[in-house]
Amino acid sequence: MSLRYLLGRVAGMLGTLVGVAVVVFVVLRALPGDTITAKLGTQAATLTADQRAALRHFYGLDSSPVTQFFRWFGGLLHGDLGVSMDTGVPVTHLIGDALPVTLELAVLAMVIAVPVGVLFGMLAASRPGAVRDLSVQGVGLLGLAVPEFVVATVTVAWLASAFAYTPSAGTYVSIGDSFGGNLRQMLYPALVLAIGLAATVMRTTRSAYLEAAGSDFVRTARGKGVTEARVRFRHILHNAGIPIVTMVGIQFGYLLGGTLVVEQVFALPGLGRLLLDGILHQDYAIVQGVTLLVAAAFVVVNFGVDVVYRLLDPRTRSEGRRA
Amino acid sequence: MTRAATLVAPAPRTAGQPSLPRRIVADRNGLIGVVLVGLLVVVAVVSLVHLGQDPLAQNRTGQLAGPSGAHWLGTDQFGRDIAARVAAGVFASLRVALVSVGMATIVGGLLGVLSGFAGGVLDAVVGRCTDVLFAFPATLLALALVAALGHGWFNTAIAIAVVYTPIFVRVARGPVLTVRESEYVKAGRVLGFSRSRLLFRHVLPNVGAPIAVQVALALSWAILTEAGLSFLGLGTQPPSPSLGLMVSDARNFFPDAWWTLLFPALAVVVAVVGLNMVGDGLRNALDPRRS
Repeated sequence: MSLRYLLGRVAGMLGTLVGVAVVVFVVLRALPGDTITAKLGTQAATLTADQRAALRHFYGLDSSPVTQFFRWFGGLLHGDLGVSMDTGVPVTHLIGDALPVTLELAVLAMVIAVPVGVLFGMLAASRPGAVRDLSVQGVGLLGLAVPEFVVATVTVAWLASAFAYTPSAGTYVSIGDSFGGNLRQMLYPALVLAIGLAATVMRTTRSAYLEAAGSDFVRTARGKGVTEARVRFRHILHNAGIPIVTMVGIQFGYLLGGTLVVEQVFALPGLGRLLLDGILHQDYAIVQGVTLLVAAAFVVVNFGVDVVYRLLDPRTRSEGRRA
Repeated sequence: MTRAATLVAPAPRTAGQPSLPRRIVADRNGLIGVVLVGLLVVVAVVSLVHLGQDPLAQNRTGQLAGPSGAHWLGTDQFGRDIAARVAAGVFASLRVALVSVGMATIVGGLLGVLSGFAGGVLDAVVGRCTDVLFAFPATLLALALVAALGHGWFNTAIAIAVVYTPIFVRVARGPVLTVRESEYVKAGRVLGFSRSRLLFRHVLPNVGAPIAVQVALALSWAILTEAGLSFLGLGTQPPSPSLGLMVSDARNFFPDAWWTLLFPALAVVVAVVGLNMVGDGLRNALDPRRS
């Protein structure tokens, strides 16, 4: 991988990030309703015109959208995402509290889903068209088709009836407070997230494995008497690894923005809940901050996947362009 | 031509080949998918003409009643008929899915074909814009757009359409680049055909296959997303029936009143599985190597 290629990709990524900031700003500027009314509720009706103007000035809502964008963007570069209109707390602090919850959830879901998905993908591909293949594929399709909110709802109802346990936001235990207590709260939501992920990983593994299994070197390995298990893991899976790694990376990026439903149902104070609260309270700063952070993380993760892909696959190294 | 002959010798894609719907149904997955989706469409149409029950009619004495002869799928916490509400919810889901994917297909497909065919500045601008939209995880982008546009089925449809437009741009653009350099388009150019004739008569018909497959997959994603947004309270608003909202309401009554959750959830699953299988069937039917 040439330095020139890498620099080009980094420049492209920075351009995309600026585009992301513009989209986030433009989309969320169009938010309906007056944020001041949203913040003060019924009290807003009692404001005099002067008070209202002063508040608009205080929140910077009276300048032109372009000025507001550059003020906001300038702040971004200094790590300033603004202040929550609802609570007055800096958005970076809110994100700082919420991010570890979402990250832990995402990592935990990955740790569960990847081995399950890879093993079942290999199982399905070991005899294409056989009963095992069709049943794994059928279960996989169901795993993708049953909405997360249904699985999460049923799981919470089951926890309540079996263990008299009801998740609530007030009782969240961080991993620093108690490892066991934290795991008790995180395990089930992570399992719910892992279902769809495992199904996706399974599908990718199955097709990558089938493709690798048809290559000449596999026939050669079998011909020279390599044991079947060694052929499967060393020869086939090793070569099927690149698409699997790519898919896992992309899914991890998606997961950062995709834990919302599960966090909501399991009452976990992560990024998704923060975003949802921001939307419901029309608290722009929060919605902008979280959307931007997640999109930026997604861009960076995809960039990382692309670079790792090139490092792993010697065939793509010499070429300077994206395939 | 006998059936065996078509199976053995792949016929050229001209007259004599079974029509596309026939080929989809000949594929096992395609057949199951068509049956499932057809079932849902029938349910949605029935809900339109309100056979039997009104999905909004409350009944103070028959709340949370299990399935019975009067209410086939039971009633909810307001005594409303679940069967009627599921049917109306399916109609609402399909409406959002069809409108959003329709918009995304037309806008994205045209942009993709045009930018691939024209190249140059247009291609570069469209390419950068799709890159930026691709930078957002799909669910997050839909959510941010719904937050900005407000509730209601049409706003949900617009949000989903915006998420899917760049996908259709890419799916349409790729094949155009290949077709543009093909012998028959070059021949058309030599014969002095106009650009629009080349575009509409020669290029467009040949990029239909990948777009058709993408439409089926997009519809299933749209139904899942609509249900998810409604579940979170950001889509269809009560008292309008919506599958996501019904599941959300059912949270308080599950597992005792299991029918309040099972049937709307089942409707979503049938729709998503069915559309995915139609997509598989389409892919197999349109793949020239397998015809």
